[in-house]
Amino acid sequence: MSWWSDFKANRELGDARRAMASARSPFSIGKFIDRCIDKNRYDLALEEAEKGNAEFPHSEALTAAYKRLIRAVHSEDLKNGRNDVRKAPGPKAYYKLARLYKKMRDLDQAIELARKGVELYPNFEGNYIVLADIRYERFQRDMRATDGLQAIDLFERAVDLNRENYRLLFQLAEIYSAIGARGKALEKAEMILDFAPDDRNAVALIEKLRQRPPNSFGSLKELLDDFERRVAAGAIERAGALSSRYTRNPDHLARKLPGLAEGLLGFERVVVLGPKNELLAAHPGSGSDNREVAETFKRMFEAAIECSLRMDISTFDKGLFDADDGFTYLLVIDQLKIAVVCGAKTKKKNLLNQVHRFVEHDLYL
Amino acid sequence: MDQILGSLNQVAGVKGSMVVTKDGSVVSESLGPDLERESVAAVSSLIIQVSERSLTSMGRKSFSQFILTSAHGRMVFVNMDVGYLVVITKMEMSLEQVLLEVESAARKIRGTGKRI
Repeated sequence: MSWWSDFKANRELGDARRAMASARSPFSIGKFIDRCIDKNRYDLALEEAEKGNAEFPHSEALTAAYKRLIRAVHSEDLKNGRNDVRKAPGPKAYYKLARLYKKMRDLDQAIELARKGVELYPNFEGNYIVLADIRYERFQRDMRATDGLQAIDLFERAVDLNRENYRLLFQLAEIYSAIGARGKALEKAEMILDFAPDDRNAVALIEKLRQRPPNSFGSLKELLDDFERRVAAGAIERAGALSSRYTRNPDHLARKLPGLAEGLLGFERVVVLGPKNELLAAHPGSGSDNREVAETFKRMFEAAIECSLRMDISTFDKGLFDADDGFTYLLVIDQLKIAVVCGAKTKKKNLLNQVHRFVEHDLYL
Repeated sequence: MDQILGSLNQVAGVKGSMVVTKDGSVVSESLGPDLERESVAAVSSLIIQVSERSLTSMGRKSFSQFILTSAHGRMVFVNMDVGYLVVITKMEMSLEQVLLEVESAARKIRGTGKRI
């Protein structure tokens, strides 16, 4: 690259960074990441993506931009990984490619490859770890006992194959600790001391665990079921920044809703429910005008959420009903449930774009 | 109908499909190894019934198509008047491409004229 094109690229990225900073949201960070990808400045893009993911962990726009970035950064690795699986298959070839797909958030491919790896090479622990990691991520997101049990089972199978994998043992000890299985956590942390007797992290974890009282649950399933019950009862805090902000201040949300209506031809109604299905805001009309319709949306959201969980496809993100008289669009963003109703004049693409921008940009400002 | 669903399942990203009535009776199905017939029929019936009832109560027409997107998968429901085509897909495939195939399958099923 010549100095002039370098200079131009830096100037453009400087402008893009200022635009992002003036209205920081997942949407604007995503745009900046895309600009960096265009200019092959993967270092800047990665730095911003990591900051953005920490700041807005529930954002769809950021996740999508991160996927594009990882695909661009690892395009060569992906090609090589696929070649290895085809031409020189082995347990590590499956493991490496599955991990790469996981990093790229292409989870279907990652699961498929890791499962194949487990089937062909059952004595190699790596592919169990990939499957366990994916299941554990889902447990962290959905907080369902079945996911937790499956993740632990897969991690334990990996430990059975390699009892000296530090990262694996430590992670498993932390998972047990997080769900309150003190005895199991101690057991795994002590296994680390068998081969690394002076490990400071393991010693610190053991000390912390010994200070806790033992729990009264018999089996791991009972413990996880109790954990799931506590989550459902709201005893464990799950709401993110967006949800907390608007639950505390629903008037602020109500003031933003007309903005969605303005850009959307055929708009009829928007209703937002909070984490406990309470009506937070609606437009047009006041809360009391929309109470009945909010009850109806509550039932629709509950059915969609139950449907997703029973189908084992993780938590419900969005649902679009297409009918002769228009669209009904349901979305869940960081525990907020948003329902948008539009008439027959609305173009589907416009609806999706406007709502996307509203939830990924306007709501964060 | 089995043939139509069988070829729909050959499309990349489609994990399984089913034709089901509103009350959950399975007319025809072609499901992948990870999907259970009873489970898919039950959840489909639940979401179809609740959605139809809710839309009607708000004075809106029945849906012709409903796309449910979750973190790890998608379900597409097509109302064929006499029953519903339910298709379960992976997340990573292009939705537009899968929808073309789903709509084509729905047209063919309607064309069979089978009474459900």
